[in-house]
Amino acid sequence: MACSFHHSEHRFFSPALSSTRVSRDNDTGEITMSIDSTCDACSNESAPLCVRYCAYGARSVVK
Amino acid sequence: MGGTRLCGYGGKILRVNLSTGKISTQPTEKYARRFIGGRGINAWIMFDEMSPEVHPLDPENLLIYGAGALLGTMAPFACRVSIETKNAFNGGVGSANCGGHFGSELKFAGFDNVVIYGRAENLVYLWIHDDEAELRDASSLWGKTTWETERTLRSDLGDEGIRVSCIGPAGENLVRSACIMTDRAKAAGGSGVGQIMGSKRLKALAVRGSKPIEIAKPEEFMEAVDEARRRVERAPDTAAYRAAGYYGVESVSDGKPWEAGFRPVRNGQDDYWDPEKIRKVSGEAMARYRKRILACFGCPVGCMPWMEVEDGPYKIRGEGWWNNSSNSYCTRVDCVNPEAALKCHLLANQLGLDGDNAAVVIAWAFECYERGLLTKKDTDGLELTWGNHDAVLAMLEKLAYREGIGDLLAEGVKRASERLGKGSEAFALHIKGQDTLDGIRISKGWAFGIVTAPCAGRHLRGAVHSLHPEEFLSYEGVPRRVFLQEQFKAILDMTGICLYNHGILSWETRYEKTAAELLARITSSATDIDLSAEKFMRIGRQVHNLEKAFNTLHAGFTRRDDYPPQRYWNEPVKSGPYRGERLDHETWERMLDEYYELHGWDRQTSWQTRECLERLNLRQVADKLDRFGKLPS
Ligand code: SF4
Repeated sequence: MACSFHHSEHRFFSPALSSTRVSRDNDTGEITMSIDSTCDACSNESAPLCVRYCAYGARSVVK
Repeated sequence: MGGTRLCGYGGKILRVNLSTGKISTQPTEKYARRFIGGRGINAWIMFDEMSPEVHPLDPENLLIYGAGALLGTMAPFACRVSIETKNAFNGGVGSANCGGHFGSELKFAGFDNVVIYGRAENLVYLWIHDDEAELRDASSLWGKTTWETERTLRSDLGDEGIRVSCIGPAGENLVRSACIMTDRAKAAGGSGVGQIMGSKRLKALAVRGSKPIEIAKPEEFMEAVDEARRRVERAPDTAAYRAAGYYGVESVSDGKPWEAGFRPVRNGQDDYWDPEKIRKVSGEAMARYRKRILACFGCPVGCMPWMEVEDGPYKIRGEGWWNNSSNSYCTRVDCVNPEAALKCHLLANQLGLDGDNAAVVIAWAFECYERGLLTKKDTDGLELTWGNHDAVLAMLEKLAYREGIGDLLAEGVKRASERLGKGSEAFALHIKGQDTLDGIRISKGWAFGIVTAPCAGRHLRGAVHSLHPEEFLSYEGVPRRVFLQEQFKAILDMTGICLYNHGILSWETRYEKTAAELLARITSSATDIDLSAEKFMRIGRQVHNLEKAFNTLHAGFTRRDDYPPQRYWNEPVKSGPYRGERLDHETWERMLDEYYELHGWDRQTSWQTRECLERLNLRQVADKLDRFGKLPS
């Protein structure tokens, strides 16, 4: 969600506009995350929005 | 109608006539400025469009899904969908609510509400995707559990991201305690919503969307969201919930939630459970089955454990085990086997049974058995003795398939007790005819909210509670607290914010106004609808009054229907620190007077006055009540 906000220049929320996907397998309860090549590391933001807004600390920036 | 598209919304209301197959849309804006979204819009459509002569199982009954106005945005906890219909138990307000991911997906598909009318000739499902909707044959889904239904639809439609809201065998078999199950684990339960969906021969809604939700004032919106997130992080309970889920923190060492009597024991014969028994199924005891904590869309806390029983006769895995699961499958039937209890919970989810309602009628049958009113002959050989968890498991199956005694229980506890007779009505626990799960002798505010709520007997409605004995034992100020809480709960249901978290959003003050102010800021910056806390609370009051009027008109409820089950007046708590507590009849009457006064309703009948409705800008409602002779003289 935060990612789509960045890509839409702070106008929209839409998982379809996002560079990152989080999905859950309902048979096993396992969660997978992926990031595609459209990720620009939130170039014009003070910090990547997915890192800033993930309440569970699942995202971090690896230098 | 028409005008510019409102920000923050999917934009359209989908209307589906199952009898004719006709599908149409209308702009959400027609309703949104007045009733915001979710339950608010649903309540207006229910009141405005339903005729009092319609029976809950008639094709003319409406079944309405409403995604809260903040779903699909970054507002924390915005995930809830409200489902409104004419209540299968009592003909009054039917209302159910669940979290998950379905509601936000509905908005991404371009829709805010789905109004379902009529009855299909054969079983169908509704496939909703980017601005489109179609009815499809569901005959191959007949008899499938809710889990199988989701699996099949995702595979048939070729997309693992599809969100499914469906009924299981219980709904197909028109069981009154059937729920609508969403995302496999989020039960919209109560009011017989699953039975009504079954009566319409609608197996499921499947939804997928990729459309954006536009924000009216992004900067203000994100400032308000940041404030909400700061409150969440500062709240003392957040870390514990994240680590263990809500149930996980309910330990024996902190026995308060158990002692406060929210979980009736042996069909409400007592409200106190032996700590040795609690120890076997407490949050700590269940931790060994908890593999991880999951969350609904946009929830920064998460309360849903993924549970696994790895082997043995109760081997199962799946999402869920809530606070009320321990009420349904432990205290109420006096069962202490954690693995069997988990299996009960997950089996009920698969069968599409609302555990809260199902457990009430099953525990009633256990008490009938204890008193000799039912025997092994009536139960196909099952011994319905307290603590017999295998009998509870077997009864869930019987109930869902209406097998043997399950056919009687499928009617709900009120009708089942009237049919059996022999005095069993005295311990049939229902409010306004709807089975009720909660223990209400000890916490007086909790009791008053649950009993007076238009959709009665459901713990998500109008109930106020605290874990401080000096507050929960007192009748002082209860009517006013309930009066405020019911308005605030309507705000949560209009925006789709999860109830579990309003305490976190306003934890500094423990008063709804703080959270109402913040929600007004978030909602008005997302949608550009001008809102303040006061305005929002007033809209909440309008919604509550719409539902009250619906009950008067459709179910003929009066003051007498705002009484608790007799057992809670007549039989005090038998043991524990609150031994002797019960609800006092005289004080209850005084509270009703005060509560009706606060609303401006007539004390004698409980009906709304024209004056109170016109003050709330609901003249149309007053006129309709007047036409049916339902305004006090
Ligand atoms: S607290 Fe639980 S039910 Fe509520 S939104 Fe979060 S995960 Fe969902």
